[in-house]
Amino acid sequence: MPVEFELNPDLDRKALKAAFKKERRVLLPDFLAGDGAEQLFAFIATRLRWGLSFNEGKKAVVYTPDRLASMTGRRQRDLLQKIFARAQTGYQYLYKCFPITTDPAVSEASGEIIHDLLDFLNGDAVLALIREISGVTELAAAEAEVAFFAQQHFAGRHDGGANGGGKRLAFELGLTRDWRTDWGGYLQFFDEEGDVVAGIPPGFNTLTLFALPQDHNISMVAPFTDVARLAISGRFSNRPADNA
Amino acid sequence: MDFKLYEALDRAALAKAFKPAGRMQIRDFLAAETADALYDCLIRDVPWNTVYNEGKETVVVSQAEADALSPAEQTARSQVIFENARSGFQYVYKSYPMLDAYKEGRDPGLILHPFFEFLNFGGVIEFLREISGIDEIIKMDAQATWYGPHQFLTRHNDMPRAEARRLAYVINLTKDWQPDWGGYLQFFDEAGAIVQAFMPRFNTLNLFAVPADHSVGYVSAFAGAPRLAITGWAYDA
Repeated sequence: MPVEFELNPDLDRKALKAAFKKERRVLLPDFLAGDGAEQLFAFIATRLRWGLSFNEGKKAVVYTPDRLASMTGRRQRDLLQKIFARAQTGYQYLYKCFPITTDPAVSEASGEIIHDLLDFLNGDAVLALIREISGVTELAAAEAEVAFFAQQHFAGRHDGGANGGGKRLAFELGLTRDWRTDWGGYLQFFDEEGDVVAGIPPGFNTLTLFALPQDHNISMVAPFTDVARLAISGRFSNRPADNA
Repeated sequence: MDFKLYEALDRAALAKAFKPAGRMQIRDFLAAETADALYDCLIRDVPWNTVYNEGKETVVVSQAEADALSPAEQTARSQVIFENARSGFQYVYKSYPMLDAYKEGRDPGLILHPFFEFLNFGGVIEFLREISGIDEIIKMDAQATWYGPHQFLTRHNDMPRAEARRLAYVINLTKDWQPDWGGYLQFFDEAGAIVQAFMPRFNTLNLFAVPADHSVGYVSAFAGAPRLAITGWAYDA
């Protein structure tokens, strides 16, 4: 039985549109109606096997859950050291991921709730809402992945526009509860000089929507956290996504 | 050493910029020679202590004591600090207590001593009064700080002893910082969102009215330089 997600019917579209116009980003609280976020969280927190997503220079690398699970502790530490060494001087990201695709080699959860969510994000209700708020009328598709920023994970500052490909907006649907300020993991937006103009803490059932390109990062998650920083993150594009 | 503020500071414009939020970062705060001399002192001459808190108590560990710890002991100490940081107020960084050291005549020859005099008697207090509009400011304290990888100061508002504290200041002397290294001076709203955060930047004065919820963000494992500063409060009594 597919899960029928619904939008929060009480979203103040006018206010959201005005906020987006002003800042090129906006927070939609209580994005999913009913227990949609609860169901997503329950699945993601307990059923997913995570891969590892990081970059080697410009190359995006994804280790499958099997590959990640087969690594010894020492090899995992070596990998972390290499990633940190690159991060000192260059663009770098590191987090656990579950790509939402229909490729059985990558996805072990085809047909599960997160695919229902992807269908929902690509449906008329959501695309119409995002078009209305953002003013980007030609949006055609959403792509997404599940992201788990564990301790010492991070995403370096970038503007999200490098890949082109019609990507117009980025989003993050938070599935994190009871986060504490000092645990890091904020979605931060920067001005041209590198100061932070806004930092959004991980939240639950909040959708952060922002225009691309826009300098942002996810600050390093401290090595002292009690809960997992979970989110669905992705992009809205003006051409059909490969994996939709 | 003849310490000086940067001569072209536009005090009227800075006062206007400070007013709305009660915080700002002023670029080119000190004369270049002054900033360079302080940087050289912090990176080379200061006998640092590591400081951290156990609940409300401050623990001070000298470099000699830190060096005597085995790797296992150092790891164990870090684990305790991280464990406490999960749920409570916590800090860990390297510090040099400029006020106490000045009063006690420690480390003769360190230029932090004459700089401490400069802060209190060299025109800085007058400058702070002009920028902040707080005419009651009469003195400043100071410590030098060094934040390396895995060090931080969690969110707090300076309230417990805030009565006489009117402004908090950070003269940042960090060179060549990168945004992803963390260590920003972060300001929060009541919901925990960051409303503004200043990058560690050489020769800046970061100034804010207290109380204000703020923190020094966790410095990432891969920070390639120390985050150096002289920091403290300006008092009205």
